[in-house]
Amino acid sequence: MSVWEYIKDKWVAICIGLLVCMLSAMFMLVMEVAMPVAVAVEVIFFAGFASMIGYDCFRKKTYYDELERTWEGLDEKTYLSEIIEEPGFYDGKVLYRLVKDNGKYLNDVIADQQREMMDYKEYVQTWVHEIKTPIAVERLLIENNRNPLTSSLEEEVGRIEGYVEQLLFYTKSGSLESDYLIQPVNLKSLVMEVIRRHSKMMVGAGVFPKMDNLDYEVLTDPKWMEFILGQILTNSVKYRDKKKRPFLFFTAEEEDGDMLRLTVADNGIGIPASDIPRVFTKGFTGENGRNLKRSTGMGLYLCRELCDKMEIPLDLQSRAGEGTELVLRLKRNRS
Amino acid sequence: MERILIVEDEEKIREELRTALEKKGYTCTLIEEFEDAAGQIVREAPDLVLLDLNLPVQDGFYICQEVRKQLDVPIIVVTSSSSDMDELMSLNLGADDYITKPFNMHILLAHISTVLHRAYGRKATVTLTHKGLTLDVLKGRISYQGRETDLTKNELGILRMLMENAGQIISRTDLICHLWEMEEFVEDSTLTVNINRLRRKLADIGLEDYLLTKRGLGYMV
Repeated sequence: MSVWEYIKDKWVAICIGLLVCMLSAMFMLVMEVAMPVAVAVEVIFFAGFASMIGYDCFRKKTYYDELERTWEGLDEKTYLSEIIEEPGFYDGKVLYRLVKDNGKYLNDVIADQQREMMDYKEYVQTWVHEIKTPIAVERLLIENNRNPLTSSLEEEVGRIEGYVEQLLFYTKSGSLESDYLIQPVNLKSLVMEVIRRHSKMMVGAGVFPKMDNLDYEVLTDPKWMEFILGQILTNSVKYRDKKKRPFLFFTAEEEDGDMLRLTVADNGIGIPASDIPRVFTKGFTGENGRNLKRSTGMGLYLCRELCDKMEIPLDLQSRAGEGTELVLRLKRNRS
Repeated sequence: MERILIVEDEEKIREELRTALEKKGYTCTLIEEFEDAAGQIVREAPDLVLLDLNLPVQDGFYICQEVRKQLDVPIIVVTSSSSDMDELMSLNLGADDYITKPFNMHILLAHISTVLHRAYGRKATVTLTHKGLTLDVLKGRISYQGRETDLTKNELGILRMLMENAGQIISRTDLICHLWEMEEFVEDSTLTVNINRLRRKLADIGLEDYLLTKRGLGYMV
């Protein structure tokens, strides 16, 4: 609270005080009161007014300054109503009561929202769980009736499965609780599994996988990592350059300490330089996404989110027309 | 041949799983009443149990535990939940393996044969016969009217898939995917080469025009 602003706010009271001093002085002059008496009365009047204003200013300034400091130091601003102290002056008490009530109201609203969000999340998770049964039935039906028609259906089922998986990981990524388990995993079999799971998509698009130097044990959650690599792979297939022979190259390189640099490179259409800074942003589709019209802007966002949770640095390099390279720095298992 | 007992409450999955497994040469028994699933499993005494976790009346964990008390049969838990907790619980209660839905048939089959091999120590002989041609899958050998020849891994993979789906047209994409499942990452041109070699081998043992090309669609036997 600034003193100057306070004085500006109190100008009516201050004017009245000065007016009273002036009027009383004039009155005493007219009545020919002895000079020392008049001066004494004026001093008393003035001191009275000044101390009244000063005391009020001091009280409020102490209170509000303290309140502002508390606010600044608060990480969770909604807790203000819990921490705020009751002031000694009346108008402050009114404000205090309102802040308290408002806090209670806000907390109720937030709690309701959180409960709703939880219910929604739970429903989505149940839904994902439920939809896996019909997908499993479809897969079996296709397996038992192999022909060109079911072969094409299989590709679509694969896409549905991909979207369902993305949804599942999206509901997981936002929450505080995480169900990942870091464990030693063989990088080569992990990559092989990812390729196998997406083989239909890759063969259909004519994207050929290459692997080099992947025989390492790394520390990660296999399900999460399979999902992350699956998203990267799906992007490479989606944004392949039809004029070239598209490939996807997985290689690993040892780095200082216990780190391993896993690079997933493609020779696809690449990403325009202006879009690169925002590729990990939620919902960002960029120029490629707009041209292809089948981008959700979720893939790389989820990769970054999940990598952050597992503390795996994830970087992207790309040149339009040449290809894209995703780099993951994984921790090696040395035990 | 090994008898597999399927405990699954979703009727369609149950039936289709049976069709798929019988096509691969296994005998299947299904459980359709879940009042006393554990008792039924014990009475049936199969060679292997495929067990769903989410079941009416008794859940999979309970059944697993009950069966384990009386029978040392290999159990593979098949479920749509992919949580680590369920996996851990299953394995702790005596399940031998764990696989999540929707599963890839090849993966499920691989799990089944591994678990069977671990439990009984012998490798089952898998042979397929179609139009007089016999394929011994484990030896990778084909025979026709007393004449035999060996196949390479890729040729075996191609012929196996065609024979398992005899009479159906299999697309080139499906064949390539099948080879990828076997960790043989071949390209389109390699498939053509493999198909031609396979044709020559078939012709050598007296089978001309066994493997047919359906232009624009794929291949069939």
